[in-house]
Amino acid sequence: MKRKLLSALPYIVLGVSSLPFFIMYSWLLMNSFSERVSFGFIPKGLTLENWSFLWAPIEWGLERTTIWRFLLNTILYAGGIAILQLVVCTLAAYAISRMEFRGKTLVLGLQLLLRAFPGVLLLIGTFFVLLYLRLLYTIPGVVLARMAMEIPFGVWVMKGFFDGVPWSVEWAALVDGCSRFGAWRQVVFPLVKPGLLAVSLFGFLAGWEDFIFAYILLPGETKVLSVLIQGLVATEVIDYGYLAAMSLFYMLPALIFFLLAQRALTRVAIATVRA
Amino acid sequence: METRWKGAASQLLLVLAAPLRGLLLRGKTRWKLLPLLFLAPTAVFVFFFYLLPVALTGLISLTDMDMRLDWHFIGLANFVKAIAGDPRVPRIIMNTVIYVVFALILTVGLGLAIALITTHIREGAGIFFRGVWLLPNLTPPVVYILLWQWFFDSSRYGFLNSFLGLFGLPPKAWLTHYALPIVIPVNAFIGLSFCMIVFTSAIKSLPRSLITAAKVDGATTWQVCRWVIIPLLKWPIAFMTAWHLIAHINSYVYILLLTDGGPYYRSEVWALYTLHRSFDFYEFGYGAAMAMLLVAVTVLLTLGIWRVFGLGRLLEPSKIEV
Amino acid sequence: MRLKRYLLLLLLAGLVLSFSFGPYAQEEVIKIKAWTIGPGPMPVTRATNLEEAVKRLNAAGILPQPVELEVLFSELKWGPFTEKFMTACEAKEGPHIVTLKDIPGLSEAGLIRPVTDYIEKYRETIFYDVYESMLDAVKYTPKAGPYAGEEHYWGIPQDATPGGVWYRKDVLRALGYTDEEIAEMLPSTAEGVTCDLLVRLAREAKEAGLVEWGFVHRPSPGDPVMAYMVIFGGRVYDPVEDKLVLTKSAALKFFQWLKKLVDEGLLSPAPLSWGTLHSMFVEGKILFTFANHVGTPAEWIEKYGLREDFEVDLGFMLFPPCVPGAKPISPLGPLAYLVTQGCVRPEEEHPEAATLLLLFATSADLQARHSVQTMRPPIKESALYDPILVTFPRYQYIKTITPMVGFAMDVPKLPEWSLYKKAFFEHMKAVEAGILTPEKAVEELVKILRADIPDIIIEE
Repeated sequence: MKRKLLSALPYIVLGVSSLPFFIMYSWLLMNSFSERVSFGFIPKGLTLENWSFLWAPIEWGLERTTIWRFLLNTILYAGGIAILQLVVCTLAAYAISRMEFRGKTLVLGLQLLLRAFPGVLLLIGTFFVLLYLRLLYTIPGVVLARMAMEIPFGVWVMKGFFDGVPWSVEWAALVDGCSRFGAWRQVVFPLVKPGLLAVSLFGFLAGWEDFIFAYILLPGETKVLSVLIQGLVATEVIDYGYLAAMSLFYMLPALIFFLLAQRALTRVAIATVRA
Repeated sequence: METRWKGAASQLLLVLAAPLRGLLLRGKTRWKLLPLLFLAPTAVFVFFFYLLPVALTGLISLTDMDMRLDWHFIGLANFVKAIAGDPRVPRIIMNTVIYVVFALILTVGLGLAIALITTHIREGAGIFFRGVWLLPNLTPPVVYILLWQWFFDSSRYGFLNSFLGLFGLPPKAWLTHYALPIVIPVNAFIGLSFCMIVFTSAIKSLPRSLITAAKVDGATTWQVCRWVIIPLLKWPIAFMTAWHLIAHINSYVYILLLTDGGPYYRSEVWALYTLHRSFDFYEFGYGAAMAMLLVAVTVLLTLGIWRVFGLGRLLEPSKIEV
Repeated sequence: MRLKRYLLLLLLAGLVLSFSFGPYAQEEVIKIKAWTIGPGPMPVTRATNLEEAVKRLNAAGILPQPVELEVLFSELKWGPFTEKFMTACEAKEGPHIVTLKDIPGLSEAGLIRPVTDYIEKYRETIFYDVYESMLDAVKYTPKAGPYAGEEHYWGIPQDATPGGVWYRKDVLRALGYTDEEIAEMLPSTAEGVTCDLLVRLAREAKEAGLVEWGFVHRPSPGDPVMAYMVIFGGRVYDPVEDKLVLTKSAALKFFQWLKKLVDEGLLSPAPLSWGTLHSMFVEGKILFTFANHVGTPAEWIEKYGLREDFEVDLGFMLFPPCVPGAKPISPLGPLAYLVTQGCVRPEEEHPEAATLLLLFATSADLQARHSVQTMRPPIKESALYDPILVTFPRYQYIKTITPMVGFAMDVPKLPEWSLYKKAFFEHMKAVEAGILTPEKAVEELVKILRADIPDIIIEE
């Protein structure tokens, strides 16, 4: 009996501590089907109208467009940032972890220090930089600027994963006649996949939730989901049902990415066991 | 010390010129420049989108720039005002310290705990709970805060109050009387998901052999965690602590939305105050000065942590000769 | 033979010349960009009126080329929109027309241009029935910038959102008052109304268990701060010295009044969030709200299920005087179309076309359309006779609230005003939460105002 209780303990602990989240997000779900804001869990007037943006066109300013355009833009934006950041960070992290050069401490320390400068407070400065680089109001410009903010974190995390790859394995591959790049591809890369997934997930999330860069540094009323949500809360009179539905829609793709990434991590762990 | 700086400076220059040189040089010399090639993109981005804006912000802090966006230098007047001329500053500093310390403990501590627990239960359940704890990060800040506002709403209809109402207890104005204590976990949960993911990935990359060996020796799960896993996670833990220390010092979005620093500056932290002065009143010069002060403090703390955790030891010499 | 060759050369030269004159010839069209903002989707007529106006402008044929208009309607908040505008102007990719509220800041930054000439020229034809308060709202003498020291009109008035007190007639009816008695007690002009009356009614309603709260106010700082000071006999601005003022006695009386309300359970010790506020008022659980303006019912109907003929259950009046001698007052919340300067490349500036466009947008029927859409009063009296409004079901309501535009108060046009509002509001919250006593709150407020606004006048 005691054993059963003990093995159930982690579940109980997790369940109880996660309770506020269950409550809050259920409420959000309920409200998305409610005609008017309801403070309890029972919707006031069950309706699917809040979700109508899934099949009907939505009005954005003076335009009529669909939610799917917003979704596509947001995925491209977040995805672009994730990929670019992954490439840049992995290169730098590999160099820092595996290669010998002077000033290594400085470069690594600089990355950490850079985190001390919050992105938003640099908005005006970034605006001027993009202006002088003639990258203002272009998509590459914004992606580069936003991605740069995530570099320090990515470099540190990837460096940690590279450090965790046993020397023996990489050395063995090189002894077997692989080029340095071949060793990387065959041996190191599979072992740092969890890190790659983690970093790309964070990069994706950063782009996914970004509002101010996408809005200020691109022309017109940028059609990304974060801007759309801002539009829903701009007035004092908020349509809570619509907001709830839209928010859930907004959270879904990111959640899916996370779940897929987690599955991939699991598979990697199994591979390590076998090796 | 000086040679190190000189060396670093010349390294940076070389990094910027790396792609060109990589193409021109051949053979052994090229391999020596390989690290520089790898670092080149990072250096470029960091220079243009981090260092330059920071330098510009630094310059702006010496001006009285406002909506006009013109550069009118006034020296250190903004800094003097920020330190000595504002009666709200002492309170704000105290709030910031309390907030950062406790949020940090929650973020790293609870994140580690959840990572440990979810990696020791069934895989599906582990992913599920990690997903739940990631929800704060996925939710747009406005909505996340709306949820908490509903939870702590001061009227009879807020969740907590209606729950208490079931026991006949009167409603309380939570966000008024417990502003700072509520703001701390609300923010901590955001960073927590990051910690959780990094720790989980790290735990999953640990060689199973070590854990199996410990179990064979008769250790309980708790002992395995305490004596095998956590020590092996020393590096991620140290890094996450340093990272989130900085993140919490700079955080303001959720506080802005939840209490806006209220009531009466009781939950106002430095970063939020900087935002208020910069964007609410378009005092970019003053705001930039406050930002630079914050950055200075953060840099000092980071250097301190670097020393304390011995992060320099992470830079082992390369195992493979270049 | 030679003649032919010369003719050919001449023809060729003529062709070449005509092409080379191309770029120097007049533009085919005048391109104008306009950026308008809600916030939120409701005031979309701000933008569609411009589209209609450009058609009329082109039809009138005043300008040598037709005008092509590109209108943007943003649903976001003022903050990001303003930032976007400022940075766009810096990059010379901004609009020719913009709807923003901060005339002092923008004029001193040299980002907008005065329209005095046009207002004077068309005063008798277009602006004869525009409320003086709206024109006063766009009048300003910049203290810096290219027009320093000159008083000018800075924009073409677009709409107003007079604020005041909304109350639930149905609650009063449930207390036993007849409609006639209610109308007598609480006239829309707030004449003869005192705050004591409001408190008495709130007490009755609370005791009868009909309402949760007697009063609510905005959960964020706003221009009503000025109203609170004025109805308690104080002032916030000295026009002679052009400085902000804090009347300590008025602030003290106001804070004491707030504390009394909280102690009696008539006012929530913590400001209610907007969502709670709106839904509770629409459900009849709050008696008096100080937080909304005349146009809010349009939003309530759309998003909170308020009945279309809301005047049955809701009543509106100006902020009533709370001390003898004070006057009823309303924060106007005016908005004007502004003509920009230096936001586009020099060769793309078209100030005349832009301003003429705005004049066409200030016609009675377009104002009527906006009024019908947003339930806000037209700023032109002649709009009240336009068939679009006359046939509107809520016409009587619009007719009642339109004169209120004339009651507007002069919000101080100083950049420090936002600091003042914020500090004042923080101390209000402190008093309500019981963190500071009213007396201490006034003391602390004086300290903070002195630190933020060095040249503020503190009077007893």
